[in-house]
Amino acid sequence: MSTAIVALNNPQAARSPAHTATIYLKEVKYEFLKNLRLRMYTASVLSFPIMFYVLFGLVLNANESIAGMRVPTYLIATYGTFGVMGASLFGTAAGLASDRGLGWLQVKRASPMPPFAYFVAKVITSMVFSSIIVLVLFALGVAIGGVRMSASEFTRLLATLVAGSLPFSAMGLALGYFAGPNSAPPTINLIYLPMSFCSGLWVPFMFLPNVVRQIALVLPPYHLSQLALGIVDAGNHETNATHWEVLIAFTMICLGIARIGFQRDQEKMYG
Amino acid sequence: MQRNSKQSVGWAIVLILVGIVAFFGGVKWLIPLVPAAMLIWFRVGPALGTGRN
Repeated sequence: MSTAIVALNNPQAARSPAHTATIYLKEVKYEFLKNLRLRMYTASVLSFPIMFYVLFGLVLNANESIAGMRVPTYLIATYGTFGVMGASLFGTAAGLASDRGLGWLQVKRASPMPPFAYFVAKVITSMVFSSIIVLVLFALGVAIGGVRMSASEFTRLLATLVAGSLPFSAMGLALGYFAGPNSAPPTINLIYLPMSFCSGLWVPFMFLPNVVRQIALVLPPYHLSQLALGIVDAGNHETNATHWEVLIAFTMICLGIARIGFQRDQEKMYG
Repeated sequence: MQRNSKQSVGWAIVLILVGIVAFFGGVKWLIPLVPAAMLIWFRVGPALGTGRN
């Protein structure tokens, strides 16, 4: 019996879980390498939060305090949130929009790779870059800023910020399906930068005008930054459950929107 | 629009509504809504497949 006849008679060949896991890991590995080799992506995503942290946390305000906490420690939480947002949004939205424009999605659908592996790879790559940003901020804070935290506080802060990248990855998927490849980066910036400012990531929350503080309550970066600030004992003393609730709700809404965008693309591609 | 696509978009809208309810409903609503959202997500999941993968 020839291979072709076997394949035609068995259109859905079984794949073992180990084989599926290998495919997912390879997709994650090559997605990470692809982003790492894009110098503009790596430079902008890594350098912005680090540059702001060095300037505002280590050079200008190293000896000041905000909310009873030293500025270098406070800004690890807020600029960590800023960095995680950027890594997630640019990693998923810009990459997805670009792949749609280049026709890569059709190539990947024609391959034996499970379609879901593509999205998992983008999300995990964003989490890896988020971890790198947070670790670099930690290292700078400890080495130069005199930041002192226990190992468990560091671990909880890192885990919170990396887990908090998921809502922004979902937002990135939604944006990536509705923005074109050329308009995706400016669209992301149009949302990312004002959202960061209004959430108190650049200017501490208590110094924002009242109207902006009201707006912040519905913005996910505000809630993620409050979770992070709570770990370093500089938050608004709201319950963590409320912040996680908003982030989870936001993730659901963005995944729904991404799903609609995906279906719209499927209709265009396959009729 | 094909029937499958309409169903998929419909479930996606349901997922968005679940998210909105979770946003305004408060923490106590997360207990039923998160499993509901996961069920909805995996319910529409097969539409991602080509039947071959």
